[in-house]
Amino acid sequence: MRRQILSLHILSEDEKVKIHHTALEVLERTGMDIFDEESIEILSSAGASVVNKTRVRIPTFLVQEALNSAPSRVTLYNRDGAPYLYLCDDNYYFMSSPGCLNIIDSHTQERRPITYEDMCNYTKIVDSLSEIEMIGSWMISLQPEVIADRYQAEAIILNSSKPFYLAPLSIEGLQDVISMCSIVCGGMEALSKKPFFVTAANPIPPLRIPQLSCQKLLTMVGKGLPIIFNPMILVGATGPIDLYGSLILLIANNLAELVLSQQKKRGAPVILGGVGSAMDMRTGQMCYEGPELNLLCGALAEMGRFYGLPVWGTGGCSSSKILDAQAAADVSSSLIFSILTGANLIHDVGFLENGLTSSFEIQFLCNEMISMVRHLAKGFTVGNTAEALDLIDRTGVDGHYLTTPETFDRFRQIWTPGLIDRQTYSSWMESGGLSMQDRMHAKVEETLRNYHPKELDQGITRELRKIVEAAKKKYV
Amino acid sequence: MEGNGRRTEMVVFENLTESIFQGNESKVREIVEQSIKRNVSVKDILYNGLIESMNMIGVKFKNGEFFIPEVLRAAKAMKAGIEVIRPLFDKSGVEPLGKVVIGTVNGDLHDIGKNLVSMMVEGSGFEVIDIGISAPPEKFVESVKVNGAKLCMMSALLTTTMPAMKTTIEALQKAGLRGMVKTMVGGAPVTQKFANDIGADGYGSNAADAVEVAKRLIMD
Repeated sequence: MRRQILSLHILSEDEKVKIHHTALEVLERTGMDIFDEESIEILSSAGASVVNKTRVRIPTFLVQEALNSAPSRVTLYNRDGAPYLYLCDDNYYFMSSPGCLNIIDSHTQERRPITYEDMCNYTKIVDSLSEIEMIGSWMISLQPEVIADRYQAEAIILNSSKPFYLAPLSIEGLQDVISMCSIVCGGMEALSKKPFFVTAANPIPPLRIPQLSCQKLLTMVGKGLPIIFNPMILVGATGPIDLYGSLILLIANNLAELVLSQQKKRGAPVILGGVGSAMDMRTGQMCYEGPELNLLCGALAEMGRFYGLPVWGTGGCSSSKILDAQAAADVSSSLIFSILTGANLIHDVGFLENGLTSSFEIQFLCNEMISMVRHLAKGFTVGNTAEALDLIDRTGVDGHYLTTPETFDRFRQIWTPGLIDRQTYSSWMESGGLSMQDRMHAKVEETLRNYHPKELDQGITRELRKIVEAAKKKYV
Repeated sequence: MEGNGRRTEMVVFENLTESIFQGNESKVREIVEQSIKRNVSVKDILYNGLIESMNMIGVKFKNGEFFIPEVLRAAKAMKAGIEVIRPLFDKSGVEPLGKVVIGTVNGDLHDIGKNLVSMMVEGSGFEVIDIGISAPPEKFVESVKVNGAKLCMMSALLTTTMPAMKTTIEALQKAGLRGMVKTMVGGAPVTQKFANDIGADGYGSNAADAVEVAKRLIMD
């Protein structure tokens, strides 16, 4: 299917088929270690073979069945029950930085753990941004750690009506977060119909799925909520050094979880996903920038489209420790690639330090760059030749276009930045000579001062608090 | 005579270093065997030959000249050399560098970081006992006890499994082993502050750093 926006192709149609078949062979021959009895039971009764308790080999027909039954589209709603993200076709949306452990403090520039208050402010900021449709939960530093997920869910639900992603720290945590969302919707059935929360089941490459990931998948599917498959592969370390080999592993992991989801419930909504990038061979770090990240995540998005399933992408992220020139370069290049290669839900927007850190300011940078790349991806129309010729001829060799009716009708279609500065030097100096950093910081201040997210009903707020308190009582 | 012998030794060690750099296991084995035949002392082979070569690689790694796969290949070649002389340690009165127990803590199945550190520490001449993934505190305790390890290294990738590092250190304490074994923690979410808070003796922020800290803790 031809895309209606500008696109970039890494793989040919033949290559996609080849990658698919090779991944199927991996699942049938090498298999996966699955560390969850319930999942093994489900797969084994469906026809997978199990040896040595955990090694599960999945026959091709199960994958084919799963590909047939998984819905080709997923709609995510907002907190207030309105359809918000249509994950299919050429549609693409962005999700802010999930799972970060540190914030670069807006005032001190110090890198420190994230507090509940930070989480509320971060949510407000992302709620206010026009180009980031979904909130990826940061991780609050709390003792005991295991209850942080309820606080995160509360901070998000109270401060934004956008759909959100959160990685609960336990199955009890996931169940509590689901309960909190269902309170907002007025019941579990309503939430299943209008999900505004998703999470991911992460395999551990090369080919393993830990129990918690299996149980998250089964719980979400059991409740009729969408689940994202999220293998994260380090090229040359947990994946083969050639990108082809690493892509095969990314797909094999996705297909294994796809089979598990469809065996648990035919028609369960799923989102293909994962991140593949190089391990930096000098430092051992996973790189959240660079050609390998962009090529692998782009190829994964193409495979998602090949399967006709919603797929998530990776962009707007950086390995820089602070919001500096490197961060801006990393963020921009990955955003362009992620859109042009066709992912539907692009996450990791606002990552610093390979996902360990984020900041308020970087959300504004990402918002600006996304807005620009969206304009870029539209391309332009090759319109009516007679009209184009007529305008050029009418204006002649020494006229201008500043006052033509055509210009007046369409001048606002030229992309106008919000933060990027295009003034002359002297006007820029007169307006304060502010750097991009200064301007982003001013936006943070202004938003936190003036932006008020849509409030939640007081009764619901109290119910949510009860769940948070109950978890606190249980674990503290 | 003494001077001549010294020179031969240096040439031999130059070849040894070259072979380790190239990751040529069989050549390393051959040079070590020849050195033994020529009565080069086991201690010299170990310290001035094998370990010194890895120290040189460590410097090249730090400078960005050598990349991780090259270091790991060299470490493997170096280990091949150590295996040749290990049976002679007792007889030659050579004190081995010490044993290290390493594992990913309870509840955590992530092992790429642990594997990387394990191979690099091994490449520094230590004997490494890798107890695998999701290792409960008792497994660490048992392995430290049985092997008389000088260092216990714990890895975690999940914030939820980091508390298991504390539990493991407490278990070592309870077993009365804290006096003889140093503890070290590492993994993407782990910080120096966390290491201090749980009473770990060391923290490695990356694989290279982990090796440096491990060496320091064991040599102390």
